[in-house]
Amino acid sequence: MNLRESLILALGSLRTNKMRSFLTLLGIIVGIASVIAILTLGHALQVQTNRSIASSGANDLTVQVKERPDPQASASPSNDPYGGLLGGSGANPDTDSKFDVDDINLIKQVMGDSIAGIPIGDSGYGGSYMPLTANGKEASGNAKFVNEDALKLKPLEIVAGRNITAEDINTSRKVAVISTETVNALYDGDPQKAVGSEITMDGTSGSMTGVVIGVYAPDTSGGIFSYTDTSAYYMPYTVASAVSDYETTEWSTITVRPSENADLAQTKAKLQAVLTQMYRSNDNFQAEIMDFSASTASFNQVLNNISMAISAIAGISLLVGGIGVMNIMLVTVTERTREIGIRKALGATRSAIRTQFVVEAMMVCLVGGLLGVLLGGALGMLGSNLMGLMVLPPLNAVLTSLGFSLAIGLFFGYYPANKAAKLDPIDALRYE
Amino acid sequence: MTSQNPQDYLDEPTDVLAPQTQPAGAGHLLDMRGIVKTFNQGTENAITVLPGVNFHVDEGEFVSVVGQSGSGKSTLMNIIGMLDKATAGSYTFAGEDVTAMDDDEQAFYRSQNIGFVFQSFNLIGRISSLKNVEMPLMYAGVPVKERRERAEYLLEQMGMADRMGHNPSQLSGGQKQRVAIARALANDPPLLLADEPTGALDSQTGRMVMDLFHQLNREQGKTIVFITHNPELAAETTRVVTMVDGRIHDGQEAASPYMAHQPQAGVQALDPTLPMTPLQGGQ
Repeated sequence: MNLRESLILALGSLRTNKMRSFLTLLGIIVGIASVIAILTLGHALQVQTNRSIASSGANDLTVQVKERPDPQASASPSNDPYGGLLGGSGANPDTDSKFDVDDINLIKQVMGDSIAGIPIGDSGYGGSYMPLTANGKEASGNAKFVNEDALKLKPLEIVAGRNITAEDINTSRKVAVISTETVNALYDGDPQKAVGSEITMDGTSGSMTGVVIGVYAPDTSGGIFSYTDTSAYYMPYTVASAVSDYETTEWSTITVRPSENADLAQTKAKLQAVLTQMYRSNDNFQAEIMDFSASTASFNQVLNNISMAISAIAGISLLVGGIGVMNIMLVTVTERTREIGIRKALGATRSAIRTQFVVEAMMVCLVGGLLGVLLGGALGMLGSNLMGLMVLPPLNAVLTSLGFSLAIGLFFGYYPANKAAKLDPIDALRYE
Repeated sequence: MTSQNPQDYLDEPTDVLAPQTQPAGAGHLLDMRGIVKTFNQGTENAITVLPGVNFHVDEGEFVSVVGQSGSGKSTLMNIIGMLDKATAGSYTFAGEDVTAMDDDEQAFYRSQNIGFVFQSFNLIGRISSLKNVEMPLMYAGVPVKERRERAEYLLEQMGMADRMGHNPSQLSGGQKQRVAIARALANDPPLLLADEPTGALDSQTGRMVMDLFHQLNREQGKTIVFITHNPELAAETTRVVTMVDGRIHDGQEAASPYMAHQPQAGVQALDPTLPMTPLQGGQ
């Protein structure tokens, strides 16, 4: 009597009592389905959030020019990693020590494919408030003076015209990329009409008339980190001085966006090597990298923990399902007492009887588990689809739940099976 | 098939039809001495059903056990069938001491050596006749293919070739009992233990089943212990053992063992002087 025989016997008795088997299965199905659905949704949320983090620049390497630590000083500023960010004790770098456009181009050239770009002028969600006028209408607007990478690296879609190019920057063209919202306000919602038309912006120090070269659609991916200022418009940073008090052509802080498929640690090391080389002959300042990937990791950890905690709560319903299995197995053993007696008379050992009933209980749970995985997976995929990103149920969650349902079958099936195995054959044969 | 004592089977196949080859008590197939069975032992409800029974069956014998309800014959049968353990006494089967075996060893030994035929057939209702016959083979560890072939062969022998796929509920009583006999023969055991096998059948079907037992005894040399209430059927067997209050009144050999084997001669073999006759009259 091997496992295969036990499986066949078990399947046979599941078929005999279809309705009862189904009701017993239901407890397991509901338990497993809710666990799988929750884990799938959690996974979807995580994938989506990570994409959102990546596109919002949370993986960005922030490079900051800082004063070299003075070997004689007791407190070195570089011991405080946020010193520069928080406006700590570091001295402001002089113009020569800051990054200029040549430095940035050099870094891009050396880093090659490992970085996606170095966006400038798009830090934070702000911008300078400069309302727009065109066609005799006025619309609110936040000007962002950027380089060619900034817009490219945002999760925005250009729906008409083109993006700002390096040439626009180099030749200080007065061009703008505006949002579909602005198009709605100024151009009756027709992007084609907007592209190529003149637009005037009222700056803090005078107004400037430029040409609309492109229209972008706001980010609609819906991730929790996605945020689009629909009144923002983008212009080359080289024209900022015309309408604004400040023009920036040197930066003490730049952000470097790693490529999506590049190894973050390797990219960081390579970048650090490049920066060390660049600042080798600078006695007073050096460039340091700060990255926030640790916070991404800890965010993922929190999300995982939340998923696991909710799953564990859903898992309680599995316990209830398991008790249902035990209950029905006890009924089955009583109901089949005579059969057990016959089997014993025909040579079945205790362990053969026990195996038969344990396997039967495990089959109930495994079939329930499989149906639960299908149902939970379908619900999870449906839910994640509604959240905007369809994901498959995580494989390890599927395997774990199937293993868990087998374990439940073993645990809750053992007692009834053992009861069956210990039946006295004579009493069992006499049982009516 | 069984290997416990090859000597038991070596001389069995060809000569069993000849009356002179009936075993002369040299090697008892089963031998019980001083069997005591007390239920609820150690409590004030303790009741001794068998006070110390000596009972033996030789190879090739067709022994009937008769007695009133409560005479202890079912208890004796359970002990013979290793379904129950004696409180005291020795029990050897084919020279092996079965009282020394644990439950699982007995289960295996039982599957190899004893085929049960019950009054109520005791077939499992939700599986086919074929699967029912295969069951003892399964527990004896016979591979699937051989199992099926053996079960099919036995059902054909019982004239049930066209009913193999039927569940017991679709069969008549006689058909059920034939399936049950096929099942009892599955592992080719030397002993068939039949508990009122005709009790639930009409007389014609009962006759047919009885003929089948005679045939198995005669042609295959099966040793049969046959428990019955029916004096006519008991009289057909080679030896009748009567139980009264847990004690055996033994030794009533049929007048002619050979004649007793002939089903049609069964009634003629009945000796009116047998002590069992008045007993059965009283039932």
